Amino acid sequence: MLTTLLLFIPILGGLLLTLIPGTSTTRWQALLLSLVAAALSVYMASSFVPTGGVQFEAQSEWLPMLGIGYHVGADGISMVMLLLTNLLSPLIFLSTFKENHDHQGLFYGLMLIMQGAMTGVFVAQDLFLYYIFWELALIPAYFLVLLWGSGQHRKTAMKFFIYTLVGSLLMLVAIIFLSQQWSPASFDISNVYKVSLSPEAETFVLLSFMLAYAIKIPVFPFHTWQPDTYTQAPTAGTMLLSGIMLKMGLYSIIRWVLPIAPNALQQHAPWMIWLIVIGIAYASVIAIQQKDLKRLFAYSSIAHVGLIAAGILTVSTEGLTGSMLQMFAHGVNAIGLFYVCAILMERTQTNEIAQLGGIRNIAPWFATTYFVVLLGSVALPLTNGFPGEFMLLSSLFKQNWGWSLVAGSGVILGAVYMFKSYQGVMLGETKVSAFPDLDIWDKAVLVPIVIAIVLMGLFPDIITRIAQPSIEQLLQSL
Amino acid sequence: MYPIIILSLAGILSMFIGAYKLKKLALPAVLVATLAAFVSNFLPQNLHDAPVYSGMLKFDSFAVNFSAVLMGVTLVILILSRRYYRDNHEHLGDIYALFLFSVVGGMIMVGSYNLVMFFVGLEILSIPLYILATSERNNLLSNEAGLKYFLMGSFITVFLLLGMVLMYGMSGSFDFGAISAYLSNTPETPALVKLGVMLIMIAFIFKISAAPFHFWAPDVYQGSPAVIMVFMATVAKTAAFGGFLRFLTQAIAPIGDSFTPLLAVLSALTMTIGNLMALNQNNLKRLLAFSSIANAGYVMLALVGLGTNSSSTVLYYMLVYSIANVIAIAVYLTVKESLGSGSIDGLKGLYQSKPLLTFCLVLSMLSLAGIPPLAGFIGKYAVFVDALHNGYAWLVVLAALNSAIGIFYYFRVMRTAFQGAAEGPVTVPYVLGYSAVLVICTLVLLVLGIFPNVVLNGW
Repeated sequence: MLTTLLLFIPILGGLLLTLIPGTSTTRWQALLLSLVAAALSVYMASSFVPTGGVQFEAQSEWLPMLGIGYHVGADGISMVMLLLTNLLSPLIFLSTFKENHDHQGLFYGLMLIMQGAMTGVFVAQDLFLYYIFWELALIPAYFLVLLWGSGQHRKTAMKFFIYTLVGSLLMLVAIIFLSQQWSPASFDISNVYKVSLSPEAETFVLLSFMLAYAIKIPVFPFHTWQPDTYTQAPTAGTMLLSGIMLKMGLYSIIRWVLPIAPNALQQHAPWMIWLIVIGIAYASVIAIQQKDLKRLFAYSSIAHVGLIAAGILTVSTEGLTGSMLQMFAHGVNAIGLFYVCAILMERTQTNEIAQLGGIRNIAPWFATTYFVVLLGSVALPLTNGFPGEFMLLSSLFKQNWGWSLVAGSGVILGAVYMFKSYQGVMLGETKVSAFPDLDIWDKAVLVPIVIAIVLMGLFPDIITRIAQPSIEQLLQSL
Repeated sequence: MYPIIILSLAGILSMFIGAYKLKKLALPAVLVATLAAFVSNFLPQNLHDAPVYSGMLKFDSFAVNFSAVLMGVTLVILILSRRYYRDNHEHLGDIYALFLFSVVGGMIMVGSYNLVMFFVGLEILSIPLYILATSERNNLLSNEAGLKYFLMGSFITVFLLLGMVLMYGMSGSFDFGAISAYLSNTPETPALVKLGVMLIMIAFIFKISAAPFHFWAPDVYQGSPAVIMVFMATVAKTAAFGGFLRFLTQAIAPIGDSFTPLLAVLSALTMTIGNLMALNQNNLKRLLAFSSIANAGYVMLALVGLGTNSSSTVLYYMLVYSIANVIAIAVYLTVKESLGSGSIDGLKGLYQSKPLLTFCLVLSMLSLAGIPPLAGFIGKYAVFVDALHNGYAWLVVLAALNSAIGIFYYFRVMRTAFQGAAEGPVTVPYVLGYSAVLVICTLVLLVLGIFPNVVLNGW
């Protein structure tokens, strides 16, 4: 019941908002709805008993003839993602409060629908239901880029949509193929996990699913849509995409690919991981060259999530636990970083590193918060990025030291470009004429993020405690 | 059979309306008749599992369900046509009569249990359409469309007749049951029967505008009045699919499998051609014409994977596709009135002036593009399942890629509506009934997407 509420409060509220014309109170209504969802998710997490099983289940018949049921619930892995989605969403809503968008009703409505749909992806315990939410999350994202983007956003929105849709459609073909393998027809997770496939079929399913996820995450070489989209989307859209939506891909690997195609994964994981770790180094090298801060963060995101994907593909407790930590941390950090971009854009009308400089001297609040987010992002010990990244690298090292060497070099390069950009923007000679320090709205977004970064760095246990039993149970069942 | 009787009578009466100068009455009367026919369709007395009228027609649940869709869609089109014909068209009564006759033809087709009846139904369906296509007499394009459609249509009829004659020659009967019995008793199918089926198939392929007989559709759709165009793209196509499905499942079921590879190739060709050609269209009607070609290709997937579910799959798909098309054309009509342009760019500024209409347009385009949770998605899913069930994995992958191509043009229509207009937002006269029908149609798309089992239940 709680899960159902958590799902449909944002979706139905969002639908309502899109239909009524926006007024000055629309943003508050949206924030309120998303805060309700956040409170619900916190309540669920606090009453969550850390065992392996699925809790807060709701199940009812939906389309029995097609074998499709409404089945939602959360195990530890889902719970972490639920928290991530619903805690970050209010912050993302808050971050838009200073901007003045056209068609406010549509803007906030779409974001709420997206929040609900992403929650749906994380709680669906039915493969078909999962696919519907997976696609549903894509539509608002497309409109956010299309209607409120900047630059060549029309083209970019289309590229983004087509790219991700091709992946999803092939996944749909694989899902239909899977559904032919079982009888009686049922997409329920218990049934899906039981399916046994021939080696060729397993490879086909693995590759189709992985293609969809590789595009969504995105990992090298399917990342070409990402930098343009992140740069040209409105800030809130970028935050939703990078902070939460790409985790749908990572989560889905754990939830669906691992149990459905474990043998094929074992066979194909080595080259996939090689591809990904090369992508990490590649994205880091490109990030160093970037002159635009938002684009730099976009490339750094490819590197970071690549490491998470590689860790998941090692199929080890350490890799998976690390990935949960790092997914959460990356979500928090990405929102912080892109908000920094938004602040710079608002006050200086540019994100070009070369045109900025010396802001630290005139905006100490901004300098400090930016620095903390940056530290989290380069995974300094005692920040949220460290434990996850450490576990991921260690899981790679245990299976093949070559992987961790390449991936590790990407991490080191990460520190290089992050500090270089900080240097360019904040230090040196003051190039901007005036730069007001953080106001109350900015603090409302950045201070919780800073607190989260430090808190999670000190107590990564908050996340692992919830996820660990489910991860262990999942790995045992393979 | 009640609906056929009611609508035939109503059509004949409607022709007298012109004589007695009762134009104001025409539409309400026709609507009431259609509604009555729609309701009578569901009377238990209407449903017979045995052939009636000397084995000519058979009103089983297949015929009843298809008839319901045909009449339902016609009802909506008729309501929307009020706006189109409000400038006191000269022959209003005749036009509505032709609409009704055409639907009657469609119902005879989906209810036929005899090749002769199948042919009669097809002709009753087509001949009114030839006339309706030219009903905008002062428009050259409309005249061209009608002539083209008529010439091609009557030419194709010859193939259908020849095919029927060959079937009759070999099996000795026009009756579906007798043909089926003959085929199952003949171990080796004679080549002439196969040829006959092929020829009948040609007529079918022409009617649904599938490749390689799709060339007429873009010109005819673009030239015909919008209301007629949407009628052709929805009701006529649904009837053609229903009729052919009936022929496949009841007459030639024993040898149906041998035509599956051919259908698969045609389906692949049709959807690819339709989608690729639609990419660069600027005229909305022409774009919808190519989209309807592409959609015919998708529906043919269900014929490729012919099984117990196929009938309900085809019906569901055609219903959903029809509603989406009706919405698109209705929105187009409001825009065309104010701008006088058939180009997609005419949609610019729609969101600023008519957010609700834009919402309907967006949902209809999303449904056509097959995005969940809209009904178009479940329709596509169902035909994919059918085809994959029969082992046509390559075809399903191709269809999935084709769906991705479809996004390009459907989304182009959609996002144009959100663009700002150069000469200020479009102002469209607001008619309550019109918008209400649109909103209801859009809701149906949503509801059918979330609860497809209302229609898709494998009767």
